[in-house]
Amino acid sequence: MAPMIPSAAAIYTYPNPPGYGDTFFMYAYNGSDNITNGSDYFNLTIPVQDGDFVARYWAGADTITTKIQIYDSLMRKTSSEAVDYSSFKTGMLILPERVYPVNNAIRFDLINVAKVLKGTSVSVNVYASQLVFAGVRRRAAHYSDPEPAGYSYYEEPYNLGQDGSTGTFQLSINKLGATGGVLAAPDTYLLPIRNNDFELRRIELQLQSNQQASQFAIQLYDNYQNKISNVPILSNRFFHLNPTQSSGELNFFPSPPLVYKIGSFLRFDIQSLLMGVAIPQAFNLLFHGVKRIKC
Amino acid sequence: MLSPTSPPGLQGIGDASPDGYLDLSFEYIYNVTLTASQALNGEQVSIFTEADFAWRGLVFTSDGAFSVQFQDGQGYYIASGLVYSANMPNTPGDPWPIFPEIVYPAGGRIYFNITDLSAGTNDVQIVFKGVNRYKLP
Repeated sequence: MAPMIPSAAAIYTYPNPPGYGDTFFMYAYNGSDNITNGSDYFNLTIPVQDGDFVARYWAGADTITTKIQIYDSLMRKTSSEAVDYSSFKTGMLILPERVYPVNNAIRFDLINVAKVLKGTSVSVNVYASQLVFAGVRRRAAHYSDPEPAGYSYYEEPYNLGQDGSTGTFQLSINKLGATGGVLAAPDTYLLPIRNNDFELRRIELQLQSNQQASQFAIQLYDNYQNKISNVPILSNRFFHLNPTQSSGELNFFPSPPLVYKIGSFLRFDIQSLLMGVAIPQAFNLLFHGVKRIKC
Repeated sequence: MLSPTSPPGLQGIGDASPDGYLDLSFEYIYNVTLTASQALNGEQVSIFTEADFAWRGLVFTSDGAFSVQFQDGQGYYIASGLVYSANMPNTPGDPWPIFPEIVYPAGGRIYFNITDLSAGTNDVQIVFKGVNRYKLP
């Protein structure tokens, strides 16, 4: 049978469905006490809400299971049997992308669950286990990321820092993931957007040591204070890491980029996963992107 | 391009399905435990009857080296001999490319020969990455 080779033009020209907009979003499933190490779980779900979800990448099997089977929106398997990706931390692009309609669910099986336990306080366990799906949320009559500007501009590289000026963000976490049997509440951070609209394209995280596991989780918000994930995402599954430091994780989020408008602020919540270490612990973050300069 | 700092796959790659067909990503899996120097000929992976399968990439994990020789959808070998696994470097995110794609008809089989080169017990998993190609009504 002769191969049918698609044209390059078809591949690299991405047409949004007319009347719809795509905005960056991540769905994640947390490994918790609801699943037990060594057991198999079938038809686990992540509900898809508030718009279709176009899945383009998944990762995190290494933190939660030995083998995995993922289903599409019609409950068709995406591999002939469960696949062992437990040692592969880079994550997988989904090509072609896979659409899960609104009110559908991302369904998957976990075979031989193997969670990453950070520590225990009294009887409360703190896990760094998460299966992550990244892509875009597709909604009717909505803008697409990066949100277009209503003016002409040129771009200039910019790094959003501690006080809204150029520089890195020094994150200091001064609480453990759980204390006295109670999970720590997340802390909220606000970075003001001054002078120009800011297009966030990537966030760097400097690990404290090579091959360090996730030490916290982040809930990022868009310019309109909408969460861009259903739950906080593990730091090693969200931030771009130095390849020489990481265990192979590669993250390029947010993609597509997010725009934060002048006068607003970039908001994120940090959920500590620190256990068994002295506090505070410091981390360097770099919110990297471009500012839009009117012309 | 929406962001020059992230891969195109994260930003959306257009539907490249041939006219009259719909491609959906799919993986066929082959598992085997080879004994020392064992040679298996005529191994096969059955293609489901629901759709043709277009093979585009190869990923494998193994305890040790092996060699393999695949056939295409019409039974022709795609290499003149057994190819060493070390000559098909890959990771799940960076598969060994099969280009142009090789199409196996629905209900068909991927035939191949495989030989252990590790001189020991060798657990091998081969992942055939590609797409199920559904005929649109």
